[in-house]
Amino acid sequence: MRSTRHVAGTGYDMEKGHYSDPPLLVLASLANGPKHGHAMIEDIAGMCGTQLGPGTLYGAIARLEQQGWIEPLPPEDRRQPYRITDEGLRVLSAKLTTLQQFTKAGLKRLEAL
Amino acid sequence: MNPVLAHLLTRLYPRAWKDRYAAEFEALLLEGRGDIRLTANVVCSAVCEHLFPLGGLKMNRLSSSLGAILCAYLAIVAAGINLYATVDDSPLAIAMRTYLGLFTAWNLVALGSVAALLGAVAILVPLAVGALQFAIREGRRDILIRLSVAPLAAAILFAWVIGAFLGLGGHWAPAPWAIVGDWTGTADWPSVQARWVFGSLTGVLAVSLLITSSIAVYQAIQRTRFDEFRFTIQHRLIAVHPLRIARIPGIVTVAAMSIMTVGVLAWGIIANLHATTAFHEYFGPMHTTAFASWIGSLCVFTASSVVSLHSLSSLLSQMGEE
Repeated sequence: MRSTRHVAGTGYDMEKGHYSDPPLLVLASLANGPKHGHAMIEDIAGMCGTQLGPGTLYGAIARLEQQGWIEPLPPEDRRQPYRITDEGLRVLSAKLTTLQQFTKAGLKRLEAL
Repeated sequence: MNPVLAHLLTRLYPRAWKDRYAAEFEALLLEGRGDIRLTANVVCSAVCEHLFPLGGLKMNRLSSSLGAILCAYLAIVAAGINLYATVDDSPLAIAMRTYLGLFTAWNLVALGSVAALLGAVAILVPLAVGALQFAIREGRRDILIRLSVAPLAAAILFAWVIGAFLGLGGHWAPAPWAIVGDWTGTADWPSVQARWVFGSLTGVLAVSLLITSSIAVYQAIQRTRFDEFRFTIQHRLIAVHPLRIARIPGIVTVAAMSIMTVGVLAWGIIANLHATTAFHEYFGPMHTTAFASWIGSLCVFTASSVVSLHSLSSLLSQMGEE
């Protein structure tokens, strides 16, 4: 999978607290329904402030599709919508749970300072 | 974004990627602004796709592993031919009848070579058929050209050897092992200078064609999107994937190549102990000793075994993941 350095912009933005793991962001974006590329970029920007470049987005889409975590739907004009698969939902849930545990532990440590 | 720029940027991606995503990606680019940051993002991503073509894919990794095993096998074939031609018709061949250790090590290599050949053929057949089917169905001339390189290379080498053999009087085949050495050429052979020229050219041609063929085979496998073979047996639909068929022969080939490498190492050590004089005489290619020839072959055997074992570990980890 691509690392954060493939995200358009500065990767992890310390000031704005942007989170940038393109495959995870795409999965999270598709969790509330199918979307095409442009809608995903806007949704992700709204969700966490990360502006994914089209190259980064399609790098993530190609890999997620090959892993069977997302799948294409019938095209709408030239736009290609995708939806998350059941396997993708399981992966997303597992990753977010790990992140939640990590976040909890990290915040606890900060509180202790 | 400007449609021309969107089209040009999409063209930067690898062919296989474009086949699947070009239309929708270009549509996405047309919706965005054509600024420098966006353009740089697409250029960097396209470069990454060339460097790591869908690197996380199971099938892609599988085909890379099998392609690497086939290339390692081709290198071992060349090293094996060198060793055989060095030993053939030399006192070392006679010494093998006397020393059991030498005889055993040589036959270990011979047995390994048979197993490796069977394994390599069993890898190559499903992959070649799969690649050919894909290339014809998708009109992929680039794959067809690469698939034809190895047979074409063999034909060129064969034509060169036959042509030189006939052109030089029909008594001497232009082999790097038959130029000059600790033996006497017969009177009907061409001059030593002619033997140097033609023998060297054969060596250079063979190595160049082998390297070209290896690269072409590897690239043809990499560029193919393998589909399942589907056939019916007694009204039951059977579907098998060529890459999955090729995994077991892949393991056999790697094991056989490792056995051959051990055999070659043991053979050289024993030859150095028990047939020292013959081992240091000039029976190798291009007026080199049998010892130097053995060292050269051993290096190729070892390097190929390391590459193939590395590929095997990747192959086994993928099987484990499944």
